[in-house]
Amino acid sequence: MLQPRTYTPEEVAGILQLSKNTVYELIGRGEIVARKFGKVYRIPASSMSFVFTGMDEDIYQAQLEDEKNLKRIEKTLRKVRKDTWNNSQSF
Amino acid sequence: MEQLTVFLDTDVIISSLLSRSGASYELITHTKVKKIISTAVKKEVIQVSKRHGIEPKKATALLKNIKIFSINLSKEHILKSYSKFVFDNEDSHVVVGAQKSGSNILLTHNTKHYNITKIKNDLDIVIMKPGNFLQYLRGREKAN
Repeated sequence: MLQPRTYTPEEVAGILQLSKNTVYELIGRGEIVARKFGKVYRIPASSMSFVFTGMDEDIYQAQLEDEKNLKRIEKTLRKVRKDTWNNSQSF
Repeated sequence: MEQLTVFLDTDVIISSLLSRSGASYELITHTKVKKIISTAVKKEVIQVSKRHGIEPKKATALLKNIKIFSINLSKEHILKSYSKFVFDNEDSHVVVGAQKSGSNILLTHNTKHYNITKIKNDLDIVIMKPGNFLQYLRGREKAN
């Protein structure tokens, strides 16, 4: 989902609906991770994870880690759950 | 800060047994969150673990940190009162468990199996994925 690209502070301000100054303040406080090249900042897409996924980058990666196994878990669980349901009268 | 209680679906527990770097494991080992499952979910965890080749003692050790209770309802009653909340009848015991546990959060990786809006409106239970819940926790901790 995340693209290997960077954003300018102006672009981030537009996406987050914040003023440019607020974005610079957030960069200064470390809440937005950015890299300074000469006089300009560039913000990696990973810093914008919350915008795209609703999760911070570390949490999003942890969720993705779980999702690697979900297909096979789901397959087994459907079978087990169906069998249990069919063979039980109470829970 | 009030301790949060969450009801866990089987897939969350199995995920935590398969990966220690995933959201489910982080959630299961989070000390500030009280975790509850039903005996029906426990049975599923044991069976699914076995089929995935997970060592039984690993599953047993993990379950020790989770409160387990019995929902004690007949299948007929569950079908009559809870099948409207799910798309497959066999998932309805999970909704019963969440409601009987007194928790208003049900964590599952398969949110699409549940009628999320109806469960929220009728039972006041929010359904979310572990990652979304961890994000919620982080926001809550920052706010306090």
